[in-house]
Amino acid sequence: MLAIESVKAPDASRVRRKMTWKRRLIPFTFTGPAIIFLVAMFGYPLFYNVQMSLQHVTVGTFLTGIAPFVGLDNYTDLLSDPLFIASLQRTAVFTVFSIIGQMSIGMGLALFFWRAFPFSTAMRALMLVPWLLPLVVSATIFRWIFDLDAGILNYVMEQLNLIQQPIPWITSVDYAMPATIITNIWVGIPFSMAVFYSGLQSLPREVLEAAHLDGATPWQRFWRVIFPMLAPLTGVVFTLSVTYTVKVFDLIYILTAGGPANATQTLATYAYQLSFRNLDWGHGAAIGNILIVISLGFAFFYLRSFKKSLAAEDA
Amino acid sequence: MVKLLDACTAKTGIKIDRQAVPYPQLVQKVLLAATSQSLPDLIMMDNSDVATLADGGIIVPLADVGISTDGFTPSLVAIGNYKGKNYSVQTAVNTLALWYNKDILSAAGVTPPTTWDELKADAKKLTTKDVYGLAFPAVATEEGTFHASPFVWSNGGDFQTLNSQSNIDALTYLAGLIKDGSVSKSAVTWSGDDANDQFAAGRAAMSIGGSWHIPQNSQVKGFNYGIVSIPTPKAGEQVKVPVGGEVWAVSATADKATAKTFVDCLSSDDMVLQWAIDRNYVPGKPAVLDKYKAAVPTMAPFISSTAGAVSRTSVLGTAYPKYSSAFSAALQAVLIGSKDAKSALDEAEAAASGK
Repeated sequence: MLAIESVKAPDASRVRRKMTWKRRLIPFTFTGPAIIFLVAMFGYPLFYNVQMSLQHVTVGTFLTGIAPFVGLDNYTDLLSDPLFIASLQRTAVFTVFSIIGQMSIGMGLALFFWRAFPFSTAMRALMLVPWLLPLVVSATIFRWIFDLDAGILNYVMEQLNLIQQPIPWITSVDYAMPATIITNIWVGIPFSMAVFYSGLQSLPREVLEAAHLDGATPWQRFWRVIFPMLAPLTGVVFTLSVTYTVKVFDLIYILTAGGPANATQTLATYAYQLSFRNLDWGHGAAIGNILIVISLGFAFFYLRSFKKSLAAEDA
Repeated sequence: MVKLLDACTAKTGIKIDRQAVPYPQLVQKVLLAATSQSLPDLIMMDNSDVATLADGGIIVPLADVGISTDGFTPSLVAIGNYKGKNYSVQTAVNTLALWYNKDILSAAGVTPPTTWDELKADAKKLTTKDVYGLAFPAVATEEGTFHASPFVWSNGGDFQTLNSQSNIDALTYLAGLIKDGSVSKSAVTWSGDDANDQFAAGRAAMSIGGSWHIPQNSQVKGFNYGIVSIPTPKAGEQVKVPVGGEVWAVSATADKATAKTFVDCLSSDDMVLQWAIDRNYVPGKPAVLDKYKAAVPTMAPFISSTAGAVSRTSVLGTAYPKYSSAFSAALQAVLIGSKDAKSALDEAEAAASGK
C-alpha cells in the first residue's frame, strides 16, 4: 500500500501542477476576447489619436503616410488660440450648469414620484421620453421651439405677457448658451431621475419613519436623512453626467452649429470644426485628447467613489 | 447618374464600379481610400474639395492625363484650377440666384431688384407683419460663407484678406438688411434648405437660393415664383457667384488612358447637355447652351450668373476652410449686431492668418 502511495504522490502533484498551469490560463480564455476587443476598438484609436496630435497631419499624409513629428507644438498652439481658450471656458459653463440643472430637477422629480399617486407610473414612464428620443430629433425640435419668429416658446411667453419682445434664443450671443444648456438639461433629466428614483426605493423605511416620528420637517428629512444616504449614488450620477456632458456634440451642432459667432462653440464642436471643416487634424486630435483626459479624470473620481460606496455597503 | 454612366459604358466599353458617398463624407472617404491604397480611378466631387485633394496629390492635373478643357466656359474651367493647373472637368454646375414670390411682389407693385440699393429698398417695402422681405442662410457652416460670397465678391472683396474695406462694406450691407427688419435674425440658424423653406412657405418675399431648389419649389401648389440674378452693388455689373455641383477628377492611381477615354465621353456635348437637363445644372459648354435654354428656360438667370463664377479655393487652397470658418463666425457676429463689421473681420483675419 505504501509503495503504491509513494508512486501515486508525484503523479498527483504533476496533475496539480498541470491543473494550476491550465487554471491560470482559464481566466484569459474568458477575458481574452474582451481584451482583444478593447485593444483593437479603443486602445488603437486612442493611440492613433495621441500619435496624430504630435504630428503635422495634412491631406497628403493620407496618401503618402508622411507626417512630420512636431512634438507638443499642436498643444502649445492651442494655448495661444483665443478660440480654444474660449471653447474651454464655454465647455466648463455648459457642463456646470447642465449638471446642476439635470441633477436638481432629476432629484426633485424622483422625490415627486417616490410617493405613489394615481397614474404616477404612467407619468414616470412618460418622463423617460427625452432619453428615448434620438438626439437629432430632440435638438431639431428645440431649434423650432427656440425659433425667433415662429417658435412656440416666444409665442407662449408673449401670450402670458412675460415678455414684450421675442427673445432671440439661438440668434444672440447672450442667449444661445443658456438655450443650449436648457436643451441639454431636458435631455439629461430622465437619467438622473431614474437613478435617484431607484435609489430612493431602496432606502430603509424604518429610518425615514423614525425621522418622521421624531418631528423632522420635510426639509430636514431630505437634507439630514435622505440626501446623506443617497450620497454615493449622487457621486455616481455626477461623474457619469460630467463625462457625458463635456463631450456633447450632436445636440450643439444641430441646435446652433457652434454659433452664432462661436457663442456655443465647445471643445467637442471646436475639435470637429478643426478636424473636419478646416482639415487640421493635428490640432483637432490634440483637443480630442484633452477631452479624453478631462473625462478620464472624472472617471477616476467615479471609480473611487464607487469603491467607497461598495466598502460602505460591506461595513 | 447611373443613366449617364451607363450611356458612357455603352459608348466606350469601360465598365464603372460606382460607389455613392454622402457629400459631407466624401473627402474623408477618399482620404481613407488613399490610406489603404484603394483609390477610385475617377472621383466626382464638389469643386470646393478640388484644391484639398490636389494639394494632397490625390488627384492629378488634367494635362498629365491628356484631358483637354477646350470648348468649356472659361470661368468654369477656372473653378478647377489650383496653383495654375486644372484638376477637374466642370461638365455642369449649379449656382445661386435671387428667387422672388411673383404674387407678393406684384401685389406690392415691386419689380425684381437689380442693384444693392434696390434690393434694400424693395426688401423693406415687401416686409409686413408676417412676411420678411428677404431670406438668406447664414448658419455657422460652409453654407453661410457660400451664400454670402456673391455679396463679398461682387463688391470686389475676397476671402484671402478678410478685413478688406470691400468685405467690411459687404457685411455692413447685409447687416443693414437685418437692421431694417427686412431679414429675420433667425438667418444665422438657417441652412440653405431652411431659408428656402421660409421662402416656399410664403414667409419671405425673396430669397438667395440655388438652382437645386427648382424641383422642390415647383412642386409647391400655387407657388408662383420667379428667378433673377443676385443684385450687384451698381447697375449693369456682372454678378460674381460661387458654384456647386459635381466635377470630375482623375485620381493619382488611375489608369490614365482609360480615365481619359471615359472623361472625354462624359464631357462630350450630348452627355453634358443631357446631364445638365436631368439635374437642373448649367452646362459647362457654350456649344450646347442654345439647346439647353430651349429645353429649360427657367435656368436663364443661373446661366448668365455663371459667367461670373469664382472659385472659393483656387487661391487659398487647403487654407480656405480656415478662412471660411473665421469668416462665417464674423458674418454671424455682424448679422446679429454683436460686433461691427470692421472689428469682427479684423478678428477673423487674425484668427485665420494666425497673426
